[in-house]
Amino acid sequence: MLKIRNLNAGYGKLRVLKGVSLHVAPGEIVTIIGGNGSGKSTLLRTVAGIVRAQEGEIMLGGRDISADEPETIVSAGCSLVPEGRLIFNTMTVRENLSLGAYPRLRGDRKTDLQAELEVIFAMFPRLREREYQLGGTLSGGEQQMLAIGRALMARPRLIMLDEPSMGLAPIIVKNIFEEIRKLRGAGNTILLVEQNARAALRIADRGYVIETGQMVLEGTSEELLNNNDVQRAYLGKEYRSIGE
Amino acid sequence: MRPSVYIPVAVLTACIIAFQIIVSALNREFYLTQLTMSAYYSLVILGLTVLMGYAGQISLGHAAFFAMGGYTTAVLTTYNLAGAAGNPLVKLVVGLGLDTVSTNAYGAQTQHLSPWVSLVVAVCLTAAVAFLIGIPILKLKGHYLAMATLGFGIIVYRIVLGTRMFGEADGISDLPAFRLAGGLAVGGDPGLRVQNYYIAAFLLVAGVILLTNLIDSRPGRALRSIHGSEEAANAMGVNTARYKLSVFVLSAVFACIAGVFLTHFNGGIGPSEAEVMKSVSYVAIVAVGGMANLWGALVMGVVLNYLSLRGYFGSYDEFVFGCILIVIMLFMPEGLLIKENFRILADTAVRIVNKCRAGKQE
Repeated sequence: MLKIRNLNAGYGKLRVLKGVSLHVAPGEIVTIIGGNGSGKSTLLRTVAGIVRAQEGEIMLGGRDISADEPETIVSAGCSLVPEGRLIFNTMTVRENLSLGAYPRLRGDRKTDLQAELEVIFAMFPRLREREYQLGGTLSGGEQQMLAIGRALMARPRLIMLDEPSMGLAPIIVKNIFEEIRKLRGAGNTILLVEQNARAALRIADRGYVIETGQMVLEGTSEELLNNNDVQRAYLGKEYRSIGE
Repeated sequence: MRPSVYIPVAVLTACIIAFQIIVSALNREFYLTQLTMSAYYSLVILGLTVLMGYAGQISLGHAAFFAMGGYTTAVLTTYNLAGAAGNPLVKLVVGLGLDTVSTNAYGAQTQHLSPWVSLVVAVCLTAAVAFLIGIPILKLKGHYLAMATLGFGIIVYRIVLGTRMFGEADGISDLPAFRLAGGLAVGGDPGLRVQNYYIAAFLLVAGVILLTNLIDSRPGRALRSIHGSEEAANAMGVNTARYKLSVFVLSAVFACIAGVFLTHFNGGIGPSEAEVMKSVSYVAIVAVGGMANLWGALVMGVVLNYLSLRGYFGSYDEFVFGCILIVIMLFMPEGLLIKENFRILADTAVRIVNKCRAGKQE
């Protein structure tokens, strides 16, 4: 589905990604874990075309999208749920979702739109209750659901989630991750970036560890959860407790 | 047209007609003159509302676009074609039938370019300029965009003030009337007052219908998403650069059309139309109207321009608009004409009525 090879990207003269490679197979949940400033978000933003790739290739379903504009990439089937959700505060839930379908809805195809909104509402019943409420008045968890629903409206082949747990209460995080797991069950492919390594690895098939713009580790979730370095750096365990 | 637009449009049309009937019955038709002018200024404000309130891009240079429309038509239609009959370009214009003959204020006949042609030229020119300056400056955000557009406004003001062709500080006067179809004409003759009022009102209503439809459509949603967050809009597949540019050009064209018509109505234009304070007052009125509120902008545009043109603010005119902008930004960033304020007003009215009733019963 997605294959990234030797990707370099950054802002101005600052190089954030230094030769990143990874792949995501269809139907997989792949997570990228790493600390603050390690380049996780930059990686997703580069795939989405918001940050320009300086070198390397990003193959989406056999086509190199590294030089494409964001709108082309969305049309090609790759949607980003941005960090911090970035809901459109002054637009209603319905309008937010409709905007997600923006690249596909040329002309006025209202009936289609309604059917697709129903799919999202079935997935997140809370959004149906809030259909005509402004996006800015929703709670953090509801906003995250809205951001995911909005991305799904584009009918992506690959959904990239940038820190969906950010600023949410643990119980809400659990719900959101449960929804992400269900998304995969419905046949979606997911690339998930998280600081909350434990929660991410629990639902992922495979994972990568990124440090200062380079991939330092790759493995199945199981392997990463049991890896001593990962445990110490991201799961909050000390050597001593690992030894016991 | 969407059903939600029917009622406000009907109310607005009724108000327009009722005002004319009352004013004519009272033999006070001169009020219509300033109202006509206000309607044209409101057209500028409508365009600016879509740019500022919906797409979230500020422009402190809209008076310049207005002036470009006005000056283009002023220069082109006051050029005496009969005096330069030998010029090949003039021959071409006359040969194509793009000229027209008018009687000026002194009773003399003049042969000049048809205002229809100058309208088309003005719109194309303004759109082209907005497009060209829009490409670099719309990459800027917030204060920087405001400063860049302000700079553009100052440049245009200085150009019209310093160029012989534009009449320097005197401006250009003696414009012929703009004869539309069916005997209608945009001009300053007192006999044309009532029909000019309706022409301006028609343009205003047409503008507001057009823009409300735009706002409720798929491109309208895309515009509003840019206001919310450019990055998120981008991530949703909206081509934000193209949208910002298109809406900038659209609102410049609105200002230009208003400039063309108002200049023919006034019979002339001066450099004060291009002044920076004009742009500031446009922005102030959009803010009072409630930013993302076309109807609010329309009402405030007509009311405030009318008060200003009738001279109610006297020599404090610029002071008043400056104060309005400060007060709105500090205390009512949502604008004056928003639902909440109406609710407060209604609540207060109900409370007063209740109190009066209670007082009577005692």
